[in-house]
Amino acid sequence: MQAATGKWREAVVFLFLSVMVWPVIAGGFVAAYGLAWWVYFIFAGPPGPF
Amino acid sequence: MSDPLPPRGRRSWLIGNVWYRTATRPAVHFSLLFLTLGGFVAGVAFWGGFNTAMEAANTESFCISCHEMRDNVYRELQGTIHWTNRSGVRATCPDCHTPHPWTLKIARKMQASREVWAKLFGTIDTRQKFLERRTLMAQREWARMTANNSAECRNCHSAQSMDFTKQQPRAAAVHQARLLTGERTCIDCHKGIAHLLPKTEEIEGFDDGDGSPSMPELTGP
Ligand code: HEC
Ligand code: HEC
Ligand code: HEC
Repeated sequence: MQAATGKWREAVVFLFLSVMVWPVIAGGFVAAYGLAWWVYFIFAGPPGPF
Repeated sequence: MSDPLPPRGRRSWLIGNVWYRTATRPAVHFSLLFLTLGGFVAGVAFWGGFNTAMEAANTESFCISCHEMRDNVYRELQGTIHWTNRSGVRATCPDCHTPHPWTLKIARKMQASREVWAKLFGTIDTRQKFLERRTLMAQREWARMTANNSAECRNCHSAQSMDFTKQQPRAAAVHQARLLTGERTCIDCHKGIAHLLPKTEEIEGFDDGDGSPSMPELTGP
């Protein structure tokens, strides 16, 4: 019983990490990267070389 | 799971949390083979989804899904050379308005978040409001294209591939004198090729780039 519960919990944690946490972190990273360029262009621009 | 919990006083809500403990300890029930495969598949799915979403936001149907673009600039594009021409090439909004390199595209998309804002607040939700802001918007687009040396035009057009014997004498002369020398870039001279021009007399020091007062043939549909 203890083992079955542990396996279930591990599966939930695995799915949560791979489907939610990492994608959100990755998306946030891309957004932050884009935002950094955008902010950079505010100073280096206007309107920036793109 | 079998690790004993830390002694009471040192247990925080996080450290003592059974989900956190499961996440931060080696897997007991799943093999490395399975876990790496799972991560790999999730990564591929994520990247595919991300780029699909970005491409979907880079299509003309997306651009004209709001009436602000459909009823103004899209309507005006119809009837210009970039809508129908003897070559059968159709320039779409993103061809002229979004950079191709990935980094710059992402940065442009971030910038476009302010356009979502403007949409929510109805900044240009009538033709009248659109016309009032057009001067400002056009100037931003001109500044952008001047700064990137008309990169979007050059995705399709190339000065090196122009056959000056086939151009009208006026075009050939001015291209050779100003374009090939790098003195001017496409947008300096070819404003208003895709949409109606804003009221240029509102703009101080407006210059269509070739020193001539105007190019009526190219200023709008
Ligand atoms: C998707 C590719 C594409 C892009 C991007 C593009 N063009 Fe064109 N352009 C064309 C094609 C195709 C024609 C028509 C060629 C033909 O059949 O004569 C054309 C025609 C023209 C003409 C000729 C007008 C005439 O009456 O003969 C001008 C000027 C021009 N483009 C300027 C620009 C400028 C400036 C930009 C950037 C803002 C631009 N183009 C971006 C594909 C493109
Ligand atoms: C110095 C100003 C200037 C620059 C820079 C310039 N053009 Fe032109 N272009 C003209 C003029 C003027 C004409 C002739 C318009 C007319 O007589 O209707 C012309 C005509 C054209 C034509 C039509 C040619 C024909 O024979 O009808 C095309 C296509 C064109 N330009 C594309 C471009 C592209 C693409 C760029 C940038 C790579 C560019 N031009 C840069 C001034 C310029
Ligand atoms: C052939 C290139 C080209 C295409 C295709 C094109 N545009 Fe433009 N657009 C321009 C240029 C150049 C400007 C700068 C203003 C000008 O010169 O008219 C501009 C300006 C604008 C502006 C600022 C307001 C204004 O009128 O100046 C908006 C909004 C806009 N475009 C939206 C669109 C949308 C939406 C589409 C697709 C239906 C589109 N454009 C297709 C070249 C293009």
